[in-house]
Amino acid sequence: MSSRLSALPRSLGRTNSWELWITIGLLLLLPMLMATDYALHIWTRMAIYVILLTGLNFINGMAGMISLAQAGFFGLGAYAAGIAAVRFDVPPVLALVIAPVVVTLAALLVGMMSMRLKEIYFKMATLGAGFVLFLLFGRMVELTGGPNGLVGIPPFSLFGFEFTEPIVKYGFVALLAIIGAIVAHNLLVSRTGRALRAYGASEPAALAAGASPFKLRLLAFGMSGFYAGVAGALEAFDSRFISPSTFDFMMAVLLVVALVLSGAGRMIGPILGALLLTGIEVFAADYADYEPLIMGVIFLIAIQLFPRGLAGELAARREDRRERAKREAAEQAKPDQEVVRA
Amino acid sequence: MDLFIQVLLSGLSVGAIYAIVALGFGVIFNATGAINFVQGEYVMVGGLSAAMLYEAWDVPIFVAILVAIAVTTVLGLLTEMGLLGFGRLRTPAAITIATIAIAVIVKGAAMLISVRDTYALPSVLGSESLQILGASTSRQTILNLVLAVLVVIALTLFFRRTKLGTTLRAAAGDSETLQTFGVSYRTTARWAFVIAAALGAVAGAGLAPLTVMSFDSGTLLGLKGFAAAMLGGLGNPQGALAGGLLLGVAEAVVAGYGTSAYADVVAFVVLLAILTFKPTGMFGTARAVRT
Repeated sequence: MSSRLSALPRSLGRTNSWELWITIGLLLLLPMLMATDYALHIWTRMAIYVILLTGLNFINGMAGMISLAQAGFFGLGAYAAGIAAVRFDVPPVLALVIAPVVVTLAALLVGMMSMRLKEIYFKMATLGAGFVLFLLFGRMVELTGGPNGLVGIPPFSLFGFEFTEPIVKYGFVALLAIIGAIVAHNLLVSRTGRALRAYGASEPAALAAGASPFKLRLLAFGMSGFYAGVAGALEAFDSRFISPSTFDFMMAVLLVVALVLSGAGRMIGPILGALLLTGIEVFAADYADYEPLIMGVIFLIAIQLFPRGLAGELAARREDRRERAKREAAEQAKPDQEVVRA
Repeated sequence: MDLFIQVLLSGLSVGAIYAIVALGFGVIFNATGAINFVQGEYVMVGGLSAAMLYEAWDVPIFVAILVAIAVTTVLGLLTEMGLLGFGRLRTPAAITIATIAIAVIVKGAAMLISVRDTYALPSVLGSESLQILGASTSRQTILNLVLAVLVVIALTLFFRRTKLGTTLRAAAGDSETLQTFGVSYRTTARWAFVIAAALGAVAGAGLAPLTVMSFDSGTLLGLKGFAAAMLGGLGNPQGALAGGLLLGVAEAVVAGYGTSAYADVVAFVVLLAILTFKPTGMFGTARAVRT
């Protein structure tokens, strides 16, 4: 990327490291609030969502494009790890490596296919890709177990030590979530990350400054796929049972909504989004029938209130305030010139 | 040969429905520039409510279909209110996202009302099968094909010959200029949603005799209709007909000669292929879909 990227707004280069610290802090502190087996199970799911949303944040947040493929990628990771472990007796550690590789390759393929599409068509392409995966999970019965799901996935194990204790499971997933957040943060404050965010903020400006859109979009896609693969594999080893319905259209929508509502493009987005998703899951366990209806209404209200997303709306207001302050300062500083021009 | 005719006929009967769904996508796209995710739900509501009225409440079949179309049309009006009634959404991208929310609401409501039951509707032409060149098919096949062709002709005439149709076409070309002539954005959008919803309901009534309807039929149908629309070029009525029939036949070929398990995947392969290689559709009208 060209050095002229430094000419882009300063806010793009600002390091939000306090948001990273909050993410790490919450992942460490939450299990201390409640450490029953059930609570730890919930926290583990939340940490998996943190990884998944950190991945989605590369596309939805940084590059400013909405991808509806993340639920499918999540499922691909889960099935890749699950099938490797169940059908081919691959050790879980190796399966945890295979899954992200498979999903990254799939994501790069989808990224290349949809590379040059405009916003709306891009959305449809990612939706199509996610839906193909969802259909295949249900239809490739011999490999995936079909609609009944894949059963008999072993727990994660390392050197013969099985991760079955809830606290050990949580610790492992949380560790990966923290590493994932740190890597994402470091990438985002790097030159490449700034170029990516510049691209999301204003495509023409980023192009004018010399950023390469193809490379950036592919990078965002590849990263989101890798994270989805890790999250999927962890989901498979955590639940030890996966079925297609976990990775359906509703999930694809929920992921986007959770991220957009809690701040797409910010380091704090994934943890807040994960809390939201986990909250919905716990709530939905009691009111399963009303969940889609209520989610849809909340989603619609949120879009009507913040058409540019919560983070986008706040940023726009901040920008407006700054512009106004600058204008007022300029008027006060040069009253004479105003008179002359009048 | 018999199998081929059989496959062709079943493909055309479903393809005609995809074509009508695709037309609905085209009408909304032309008026607002957005992709309407509720389109598939209109098909579901049309088919499910007609079948529910007929099966659960013993309403005569023609009345059931008319009521279903009316209900879905009202849903189209409500969609427009939910999207544009608050005055903040105007960009195609934001409207598209909001339609996802409404699609989720409609699906959730349908789930509660239908209690997750499935319903079926008989054909209005009776259940006797039809013999064509050694293959047998439902009479609904002919009805659906006639319906699709009539709808395309009617829509083409509407857009070319009536004042409202011309206004809607003008909105597709340049909605801002149209507004300076005193035509409100919401008026055109409202008509577009009413027409799209009615089309969806007709598609649902035509599909219900071919397959059972349930609250979650809509998403897949909508995506298939969208694939058909993209195949023929989004917003092009004749293209939608060609795209729908082609997609239906392609699915039937995979189901007939391969395995029916992968028939549903065809639409998405077609969608991804067309978006990758020829996003303007088979007939290649010039429009910027790439950056």
